[in-house]
Amino acid sequence: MTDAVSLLSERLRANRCAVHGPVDRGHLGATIVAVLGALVDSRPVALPSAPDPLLDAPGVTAAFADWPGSVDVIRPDSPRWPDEIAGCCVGIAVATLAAADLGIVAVACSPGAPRSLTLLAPTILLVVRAETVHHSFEDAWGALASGSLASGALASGVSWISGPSRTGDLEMILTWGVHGPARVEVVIVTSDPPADVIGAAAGIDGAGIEVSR
Amino acid sequence: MTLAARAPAALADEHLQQALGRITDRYRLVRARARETPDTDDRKHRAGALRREILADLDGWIDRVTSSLERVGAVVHRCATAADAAETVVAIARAEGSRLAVKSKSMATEEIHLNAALEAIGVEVIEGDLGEYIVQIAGERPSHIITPAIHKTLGQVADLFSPLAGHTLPVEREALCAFARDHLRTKFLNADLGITGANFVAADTGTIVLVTNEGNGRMATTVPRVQVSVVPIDKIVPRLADLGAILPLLTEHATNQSITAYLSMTTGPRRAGEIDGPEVLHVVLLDGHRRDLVGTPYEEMLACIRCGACLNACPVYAKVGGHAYDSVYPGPMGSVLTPLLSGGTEGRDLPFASSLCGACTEICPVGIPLADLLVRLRADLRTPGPVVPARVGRTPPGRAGPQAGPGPVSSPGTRPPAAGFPWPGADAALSRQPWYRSLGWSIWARVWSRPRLYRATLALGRLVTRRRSGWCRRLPGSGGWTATRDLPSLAQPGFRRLWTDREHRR
Repeated sequence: MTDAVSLLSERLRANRCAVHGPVDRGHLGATIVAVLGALVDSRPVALPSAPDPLLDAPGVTAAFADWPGSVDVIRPDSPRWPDEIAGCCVGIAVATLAAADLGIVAVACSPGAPRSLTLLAPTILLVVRAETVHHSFEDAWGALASGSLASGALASGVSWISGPSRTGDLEMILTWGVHGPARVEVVIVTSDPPADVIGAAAGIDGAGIEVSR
Repeated sequence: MTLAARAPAALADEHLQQALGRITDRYRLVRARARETPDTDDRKHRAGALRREILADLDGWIDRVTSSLERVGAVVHRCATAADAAETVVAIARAEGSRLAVKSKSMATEEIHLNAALEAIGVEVIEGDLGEYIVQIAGERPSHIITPAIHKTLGQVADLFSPLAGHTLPVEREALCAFARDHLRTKFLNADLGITGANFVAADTGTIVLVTNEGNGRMATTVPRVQVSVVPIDKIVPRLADLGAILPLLTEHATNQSITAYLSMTTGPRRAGEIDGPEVLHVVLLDGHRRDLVGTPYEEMLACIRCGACLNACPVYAKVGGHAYDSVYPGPMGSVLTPLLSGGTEGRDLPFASSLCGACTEICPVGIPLADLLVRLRADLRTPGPVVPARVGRTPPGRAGPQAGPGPVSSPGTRPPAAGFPWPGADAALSRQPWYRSLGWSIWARVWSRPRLYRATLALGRLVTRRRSGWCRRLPGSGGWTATRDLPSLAQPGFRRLWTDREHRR
């Protein structure tokens, strides 16, 4: 684990996020299932449109398939989305990047990952790729602002999220969960293991893989 | 009616005094954090310079931000006055057939009195920020620019919310918060117009940045089909990247947080294939007398990032609260801005209601010399007759700030003494005092500007008060100065004696 990733975990926890990992991609699906376990009920879980490079990788979908009980998944490209997104129990999204020093994660919207994906459910789960973690907020903000990311132009909407929704408006004492999600789970995932390891799938830990940033 | 006239009621309000104690607590935390962070001065200096960069060519930056906003698909409206801006939003609401508007927290929309204008044409307007919503249903205005309902106790909030709930709500924060969440969620999901201000707008990318903790900014920019953002022109930053240095300073000074829960970037309306976010984005660029300030010493105020730290630091605000100012912006920044942004028609007494202790200047994250501006306003508001705007040399970027040495206002020697009040109509009425008090001050000034007489009067004073045990209960003829407090008696021996003794000992 690099310094930036451990600092990010520490600061996100200080901001009242639950942080999991870093895990390798082979374990991402199982980790998400374990984290969300009790939080998922009969209400749908919102995911980005398929295929998402991370969340629709074979190992992840396999883990979802093994979810205890049944999970009702809705996606932005489904006709159910407009009516049901406000009633989801969990929204899952992949972060564009993160800043370790302030413990904050940026999520850019796109046709497959609309703004409401990380806004309306009481719980959101954000997947952060370790290679997108910048040490300082200023660097991370600058990378996004200058459009120097691989993803190109600045998205029409970017939400930087450091933790649960909160207010200080009631006698200046923090109260949690106003308009946005009251619970934020973050799963940090390391970069791709070698191709042959993906084939071998679960059971091989990615801890030996060095992350460059 | 002046602040001085409204103050007694505020001082007698027990709830308010209790609430204001929390403001002072926040100030202490913010100040302690600033002092304990080693690079605070450098960061303030840098942020201050970045904020002043637009002053050299404000009109040019307005053009640049306009073309960037248009390039990403926003519709830009330039409005000279607050009334123009309100009319523009009303026209948009009418053209779009809007019925329910939800707002994220915005002082600019307070400034243009937008809610009343929209309600007049039958649009239901809902404040999304919890504090603003409390103030809205109470029929009041915000008493703090960051914590609008600071003056309300939990019990008062429960009393305001219970009729909406249809039953008595418990006086508990979680319960009241949950009620507001559910109640406002319905409004957010059904709104057809989203209204926001902007913490900043970037000239290079046309990005509007909102800083929130609750998520009201995200709600207002996600669901409604039409979004209107009211953006005062001083919110322009040249480059989006600059905000990486400014945003943490803002949140540290506003709420003592290293960063807020959310920072939202909006760059144009939704794009092809996207299923939420506004289909139409209108940006109302508001001048509201801001351009008048450029080139005068008051242009410093255009660097303000609305963190509210100066309100928390101010001993006047901390005793009377925001409503006593009877202005959109209270506290030190409000005392400077209110006369300036109203073209000299409002809040003319506010610069006089300050102890000039300088706590506001010290805490300001972008180095605005608030105390100096208050002094200058006192002079300008008293000068009778029309005052021709005197455009003076520009403050070089980086000159202001905590380590910048003498500021542009406090050192008239380094800068031509400018008649800075950029409009006619300053008058002498504010300085009118009873003749005996004016006489008293002029005698005092004549006597104490002569060292011998100064020493003699102090010696006499020490002689008179030498038997007092540190305090004088009453000082007749002091205009009520000792009505509510004791006056310290003169030190025995005096400073001069201590000093000369010390010199002799060397």
